[in-house]
Amino acid sequence: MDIFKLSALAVIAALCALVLRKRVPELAMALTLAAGVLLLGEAVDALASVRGLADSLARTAGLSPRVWRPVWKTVGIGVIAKLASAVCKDAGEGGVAAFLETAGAALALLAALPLVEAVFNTLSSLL
Amino acid sequence: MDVDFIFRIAAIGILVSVLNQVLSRSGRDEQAMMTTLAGLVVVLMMVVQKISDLFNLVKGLFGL
Repeated sequence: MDIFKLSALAVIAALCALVLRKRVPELAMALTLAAGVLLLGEAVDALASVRGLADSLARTAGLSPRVWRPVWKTVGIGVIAKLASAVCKDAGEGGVAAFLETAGAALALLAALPLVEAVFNTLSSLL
Repeated sequence: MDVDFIFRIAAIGILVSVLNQVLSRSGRDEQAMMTTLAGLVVVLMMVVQKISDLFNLVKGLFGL
């Protein structure tokens, strides 16, 4: 799906959310959530092909998946945490969004831990 | 299918808001509240289904 259709979808969703905002605010947020899910679905499809290329490049470069997988995991955690906190801010819950971003950062660090370990092992084996 | 989903939710929202007005005008405020909740539950059921599909996709992609 090309960018024009996606942006048209986003604008239509924003318009519908505006209509609902005054009368039924809860449904307005559900509608923005649904639009976000649809847009992210298209982005994930596009990203899947990028992921395939990245994996084959990593294999030819001789990088073991153990090194490469934490990078993808951290990217995933970052993307999901940012989007979810943006939705929470939309609903006026700035506090919840801040808590979620902190938790996301902690989980990303946890995911990156094996990467640091792998790099350290390769370094120590070189020395 | 994508835009229909948005329009379906918007239609439910407008329907709920109209019912809300009618019920609250005729003095039945608690039923108006119940209608809003019912509309919200219906919409959330639809959205939650989409969200779980998306999260499975993301889980597969990022290996989470």
